[in-house]
Amino acid sequence: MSRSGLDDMGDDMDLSGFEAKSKPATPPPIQAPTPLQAQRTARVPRTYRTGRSETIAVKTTPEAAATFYTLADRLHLKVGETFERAVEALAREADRERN
Amino acid sequence: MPTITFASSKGGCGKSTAAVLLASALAERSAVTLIDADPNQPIVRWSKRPGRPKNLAVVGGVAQDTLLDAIEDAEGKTPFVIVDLEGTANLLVSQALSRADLAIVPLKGSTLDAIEALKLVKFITQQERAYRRDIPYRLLFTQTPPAIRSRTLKAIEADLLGQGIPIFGTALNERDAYRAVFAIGGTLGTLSLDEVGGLEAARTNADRYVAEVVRALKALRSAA
Repeated sequence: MSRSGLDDMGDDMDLSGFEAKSKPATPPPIQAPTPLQAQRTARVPRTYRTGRSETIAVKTTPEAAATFYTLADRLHLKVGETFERAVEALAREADRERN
Repeated sequence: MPTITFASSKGGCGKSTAAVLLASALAERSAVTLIDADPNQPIVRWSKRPGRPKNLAVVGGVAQDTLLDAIEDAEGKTPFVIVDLEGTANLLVSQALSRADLAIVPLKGSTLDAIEALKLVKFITQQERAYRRDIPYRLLFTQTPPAIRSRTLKAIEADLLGQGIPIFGTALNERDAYRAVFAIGGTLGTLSLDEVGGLEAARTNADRYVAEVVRALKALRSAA
């Protein structure tokens, strides 16, 4: 298969000085981004379920409102709980009066 | 060591022929990988015909996302890597040029071809800026009449040389033997004289071209 023509070119066709290249370091393959959902650790729900879903809008005097909130603060109660405890107290009082 | 890329901004100017002639000749004395990055896969088709040199591996089916891997893989395996591209200037060509130790731009001896070749030279210089590296290149006249150098060809050559554009002194002539390599398969060495006319003249022409490419590669290597 070899032809004589190239041999006649003498040193021109001496390819002994050419060698394979050393392979450059290839960067690691690019990964598809992890879905945002999977990155988060499962979150503990911070909502405090009270079962309080009804709204009561009440007109009252500034003094009664101030007393109500002062009581709530002093007893470290939420507004809803303060209202419920007040209603319970009133019911007990009514029961006592009835008996 | 060298990676040689054949590029042009238009098709039909003898890129694949020049690539196969070079690869076949080098494969007589060294291991060569020929990467066919032309979507039409002319070299892959050639390699499926009988007579491909044992020392010559042909890699086809490369695309934009696999070309650099294919080049780097081949560079690690064989001393010579030759990349043949589609006749256009796109990102694939740009990527191939980024790895080229020598880019060869074939052109026919017409004014229109010279204009196209100049477009590719401009593209190469843009890639030099983009990659911040020199991309040595040479123009190669192809399909020229064997007997005489036409006045047009001489004028174009003088014009290009005047602009400082390097051109190989050897032109690949218009030879039936070059077409026969693709039609029959194999190399100029495996074709027989009764299969094709003008075979000896084609062999001499191809040898001169290959020797000039090797001289250019040696000069570039010692300059590096």
